[in-house]
This record gives sequence, structure tokens and C-alpha cells, in this order.
Amino acid sequence: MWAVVDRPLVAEGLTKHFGEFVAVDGISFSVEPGQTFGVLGPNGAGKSSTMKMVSTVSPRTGGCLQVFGLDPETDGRQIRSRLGVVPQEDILDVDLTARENLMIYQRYFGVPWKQTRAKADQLLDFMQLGDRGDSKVEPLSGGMKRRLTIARALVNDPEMLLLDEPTTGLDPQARHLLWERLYRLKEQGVTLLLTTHYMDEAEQLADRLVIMDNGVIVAEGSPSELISKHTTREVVELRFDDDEHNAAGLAQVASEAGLRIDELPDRHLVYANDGDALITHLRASGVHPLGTYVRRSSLEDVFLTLTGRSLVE
Amino acid sequence: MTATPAREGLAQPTAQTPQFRTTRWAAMSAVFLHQLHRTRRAWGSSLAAGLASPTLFLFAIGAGLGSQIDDVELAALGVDSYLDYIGPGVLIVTAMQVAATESLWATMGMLRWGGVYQAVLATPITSAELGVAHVIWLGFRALVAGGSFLLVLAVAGTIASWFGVLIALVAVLVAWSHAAPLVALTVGLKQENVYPMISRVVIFPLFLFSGAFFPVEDMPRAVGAFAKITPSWHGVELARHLALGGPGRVDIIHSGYLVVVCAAGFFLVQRQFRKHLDV
Repeated sequence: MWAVVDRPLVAEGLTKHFGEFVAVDGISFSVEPGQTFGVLGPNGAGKSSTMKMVSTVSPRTGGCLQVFGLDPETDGRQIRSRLGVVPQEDILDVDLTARENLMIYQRYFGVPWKQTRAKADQLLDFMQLGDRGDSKVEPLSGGMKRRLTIARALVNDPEMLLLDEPTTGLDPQARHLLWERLYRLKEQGVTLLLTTHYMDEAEQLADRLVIMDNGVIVAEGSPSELISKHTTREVVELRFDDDEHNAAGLAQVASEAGLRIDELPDRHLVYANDGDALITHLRASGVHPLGTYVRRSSLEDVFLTLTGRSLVE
Repeated sequence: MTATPAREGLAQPTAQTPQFRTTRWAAMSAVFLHQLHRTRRAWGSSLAAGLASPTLFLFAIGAGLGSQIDDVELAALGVDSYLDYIGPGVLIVTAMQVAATESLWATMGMLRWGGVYQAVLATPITSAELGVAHVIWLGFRALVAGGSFLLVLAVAGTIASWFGVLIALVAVLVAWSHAAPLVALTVGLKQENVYPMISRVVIFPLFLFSGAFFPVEDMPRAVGAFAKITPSWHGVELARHLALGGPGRVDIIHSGYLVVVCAAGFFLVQRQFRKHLDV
């Protein structure tokens, strides 16, 4: 039990019901200090409900949950004073400037008013918003609003930062800037707990992750562990014309080689350790796809393997 | 073990204790500061708008309609002029209206998903504390509106006694006794489509039948009896007695009643905030 107290987050058989609906169905996981822990899954998997329970906003229905060794039910105030929360929506105060958003928020944590300005400016700089302090929230771009929301979550120097789908709706450039900042926080020893439905995000950021589906954890491990356990090194994507002959030929080759195929509406996915070798072999066997694409297999493929469904519909 | 690099923008991870004491009062006072900040640019205009309507009421009804009321009737009301009669009452119903309006739309804007209070709930404040602090803030709005109108009344010569200063506090009690149940209602609503009905069916009749403009005893008995259980009537009576310089024993009942209604309201707010926000 000693080790449990040192971990910022431990869940055992955690459940959340909303009336008849079971949002989270007995999940168990724990997060090590300084770790970046990902919770991955499609919409409705129970990710946000889990986050809300961890952030002590939503009481659990059953099971055990410890945040910093404390019980969210009885020690909510103490837990929240040490947590940073980045909600899915930015919910910034549009009647305040960027800096005021950060200054006022500090008051809720009991920071003396005179100290709030210096801290706000420090965080604006850290989130690369140094020249936007006096700007109202509305004119800021989506990426800037997101960074301001993260800055706000950092006002109390949290030991753990919760991020609920931090890059949803951001363009690639904004996403990469955000990843870089989050990586910096991780280097500084902040524990990160993030939900996402993007596989590349989990691969980029997470040391460990759980994949959730329908309120349960269907897989757990490091991104590379999950890939090696549940999929192959590479994935070959093939597009065919309507000719039945090609698809049948593919099925034949795959079954001979013991390879798994997933048929999607517009393409076939073949899981192989050497994609190029497979394509050569297919051509030699008289299978001629319209297009081929060999890529590294990703958590997306793990999810497909585990649940039989594509993650991003 | 590798050393942690210095945190730019962040302090070194602290030990198990938070950096500052985040007490209930610190968190609740933050709501006040927050509201003061987000509304401060609009204070000038809202104060002017807030003063214009009761002032117009006071002079149109008080001086205009009042000229039709003869001395015998005024003597029956216990005042020298009709302006003296309605002044304190208009102040109280104005405070009530300010609080009621802010309790509906403005509160919904803060609370609903995407509203600022959702982010505030991630801080050490509890939902019940947030509800109480918000209602306290609405009392302050009413205090500013009522207090400034009190100056208008004083200048108009309708405040006969220093007891009149206390009318500002009565305005706060009346504001709380309306704001608390309305905020408690708002936190449970997903849409504001009942608001126009509340304004018409609840707030406006309370305004008319509060006894601000005529004694409730002049109304049909049932209506008069109903008026006497409304906090606005108790507030109007109390304010009028204070303005005319003669608070008496009955005013202990009026103020006691208001305090009890406020206490019940604050209790209800805490319950509803817990019920609807801690889900």
C-alpha cells in the first residue's frame, strides 16, 4: 500500500452510472509521478466521465479512486488545489483580457492579488502568448485560446495536469506547438493525464496508455507495446477497382501467409511486418491494386484490431 | 536519478502542501472579485440605466399621479406627500428587479456548459460555495442600485431620518430573498425558455403588489393576504418605516422574516448547486 500513496492517481474498479446508463464500468489503472498517461477511445467510451471523476467534479458511483493519495469525495478541495484541468471546451471568460483570465483564476487558488500579475505574465510567455496579454479572448485564434486555457490550468503549479482532448479542432501547426509545450511540461516533472481520440497524439505524448471502449479498458501498455502486441510493424493499404478477382486474390495470398485483413468501405488493410515485400508478392500472384500505401502501424490499427471498428468514423 | 530542469513559467513541484491556503473564504471572495472585474467596464452604463427607470417612476407616479391624491388620503397613508410614500418602496422593488434579472439570464450565461463557472469548478471552490458567493454578489449589485437611488431619494427630500441609510441593507435582504430561489432554479435548467414567463407571472406581479404604490389592504382580501407573505412587501414596509424615521416593533418582524427567507434561500442554493453541478 505504501507505493500507492506516492502515485498521483490510482483507480480500482472505478464505475460511473448516469441512471441506467453505465459510462465507466469498473476500470483499474494507475499513473506514476511524472508520467504522461493517455486515455484513448472513441466518443462515448467513458474518457470524459473518467476525467471528471479524477478532477473531483463528478462523484464516482463505485470502486476506489485516489488522487495524490486522497479521496476525491472527502478531499476535493485539497486535490483541486494541486490539479490543473484543461477542459474539452476552452470556456475562457470573454469579458476579460487574456492576462485578467489568468490573474482572476489565481485568486480562486488563494494567490495574493499582488502576485497574480507576475505569474500571469510568466505563463503567457511560457505559452507563447507574451504579446497577447491585453487582448480580449474573442480575437484569439483557436490554438491561442487553447494555449491560454492550458496557461490557466497552470496557475497553481499543478503536480498533475488533466487534458481532455487537448488538440481536438486544432490545425496541424497549432497541434505541434501544443505538443511541444506539453512535452516541456513533462520534462519539468508535471504528471500529464490526457484523453484523446487521436492515435498519433497518444503515440507522440504518452508513456503509457489505456484504450477504452464502452466504459471498459480493452488494452493497456506503452504505445509500442500495444502496437507489437495487437498489430504488425507495418500496415499496407490497398485500393482496388470493382474487379472481384483482385480481392479474391488478396484473400488467398493473405490466408496462405497467415496475415490479417480488414476490409474498410474504400480500402483493404493488410497487417504485415514487411509491407513492400507483401506488395511484390501480391503483384507476382496476379493481384493488381489501383493504389498501395505502406505505413507504420499505429494505435488506430490497435483499436481496429481490438474492437473491430474504426476509431475515427 | 536525473535532476529536473528548472520550470519555466512554473515553480518547482512543491511538496504535498499547496502553495497558498485555499480556504472557503478566499475562494468565495474570488467570485466577487471575478464578477467585479468582468462587469466593471459596464458599471457606468448599467448604473445610469438602473437609476433612470426608478427615477422616472418616482417622479411620474409620485409627482404626477400623486397630485391627484388629496391631503385626507395622504394622512391615511401617514405621509405628507405621495412621493414620500412611494420613494422607499420603489427603491425596494428596483433592488428586487435588478436581482431577479441577474438571477436569470446573467446567471445562466455563467453556468451553462461553456459558461465561465464550469472552469471555476475546477478550482478549490465547491459548487455550494460558488452558488452562495454568486448570490452574495447579486446582493451587491442590488446594493449599488439601491444605494445610488437612495441618494436620489435623499436629494428629493423623501428620507426624513438617518435610519434611512439602513434601507440599503433592506434592499440587499430583498435582493437575496429573490435571487437565491431564482439562482437555485436556474442551475437546474437546460434552457431559459421559462424565463419570460417567470418575469411576467412572478416578478412583475411582485412589483405591482408589493405595497410600493398603494397599501395592500386596499386590494381584495385574498390578494392582500398573499402580498403579505412576499418578502418584497415586508421589505417595502420596513424601508418605508425607516425612511419616515419611525422603525417600530413590527419592523423586528419584517426584518426577521426577511432574514429567515434569505437563510432558506441560501440553503436551497447550496442544495441545488450540489445536486446539479456535482454529477
